[in-house]
Amino acid sequence: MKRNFSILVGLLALVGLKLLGDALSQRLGVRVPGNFWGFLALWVFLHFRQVAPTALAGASAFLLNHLTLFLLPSLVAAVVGLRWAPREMALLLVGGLPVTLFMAAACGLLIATLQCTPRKSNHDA
Amino acid sequence: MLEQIAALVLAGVCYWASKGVFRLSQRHVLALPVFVSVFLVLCACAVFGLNPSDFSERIHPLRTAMDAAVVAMAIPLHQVCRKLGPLLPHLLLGLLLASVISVAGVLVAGWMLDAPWLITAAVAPKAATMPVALSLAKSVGADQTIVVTAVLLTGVVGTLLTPPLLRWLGVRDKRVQAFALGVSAHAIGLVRAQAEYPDHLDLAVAGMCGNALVTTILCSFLLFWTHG
Repeated sequence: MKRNFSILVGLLALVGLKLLGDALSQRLGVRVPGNFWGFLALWVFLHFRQVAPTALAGASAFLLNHLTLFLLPSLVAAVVGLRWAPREMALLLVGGLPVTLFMAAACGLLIATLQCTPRKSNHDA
Repeated sequence: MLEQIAALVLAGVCYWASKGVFRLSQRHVLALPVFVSVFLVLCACAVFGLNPSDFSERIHPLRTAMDAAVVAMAIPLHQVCRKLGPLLPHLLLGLLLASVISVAGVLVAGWMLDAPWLITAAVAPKAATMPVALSLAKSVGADQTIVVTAVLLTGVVGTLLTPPLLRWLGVRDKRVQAFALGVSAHAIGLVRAQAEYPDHLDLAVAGMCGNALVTTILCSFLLFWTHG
């Protein structure tokens, strides 16, 4: 019971941060989603506090463990509205296949190369 | 009100059933709850004679939780970053490069294919996890059907092909493979990361959350502002 209450408090805090983000986006007149500002605000808060409060950690684990449930409205609406136009299809295929593989390869190769560089210089020294 | 509660209960039942199917399939990537739950909802709508579009509207309150989940991603990302130590700068550079390639790649492809801007804007955040991509698309009025298809396609392609591609390219470090899997295949990739790199699952989570963050910044400030 106490744990559920704690999660509820954490959920309210997260929703509050999202609403604050919405207000900030509106105030600044930018098209950045409110949840992004909420994410940044929470990140900055955690940076100074070091450890996440129990209520927030519990609410975060709950939300991220059941993310599929919260995606259902968008997923169902998307599947119902699914239609295949040639231009959309072409961009989806290019974006989904070569671009995804290129980004994965570039990410992996760059990190692997950066990790090897200091080891080589130490060996030479 | 009663209809809305019934729809939410039905959504919950389909979701829990999809989790059961996923466990029974021994966590097979094609039995992911994200696919099975939608299939079960559509089956339930057919059985009970419901219109799926109306059903989707009735379970709309769940979207508030989705937005809160994006804010909540700051917690696992912060926890992982504290543990990474000297590896962090390398991962950050890899993440930045991957995100730029992902967004710029779609922009170039959209320009070459002469795709309408709203379609390009819907596909651009494809490598961010679903709630982030949907929020970005909503903020510019892009079609959420295209967003969902792009995100799912990217997730499946990234999950199936990233590990063999990296091995073929000679990247043997499992930490790098797990991180790249999270970056390229978001939440769908985490399923494979859980099976293949259980010791480095936190790196896959960092890749997913980090890419969501960087993609939001790139899409908001490059794509959407230039066409705002």
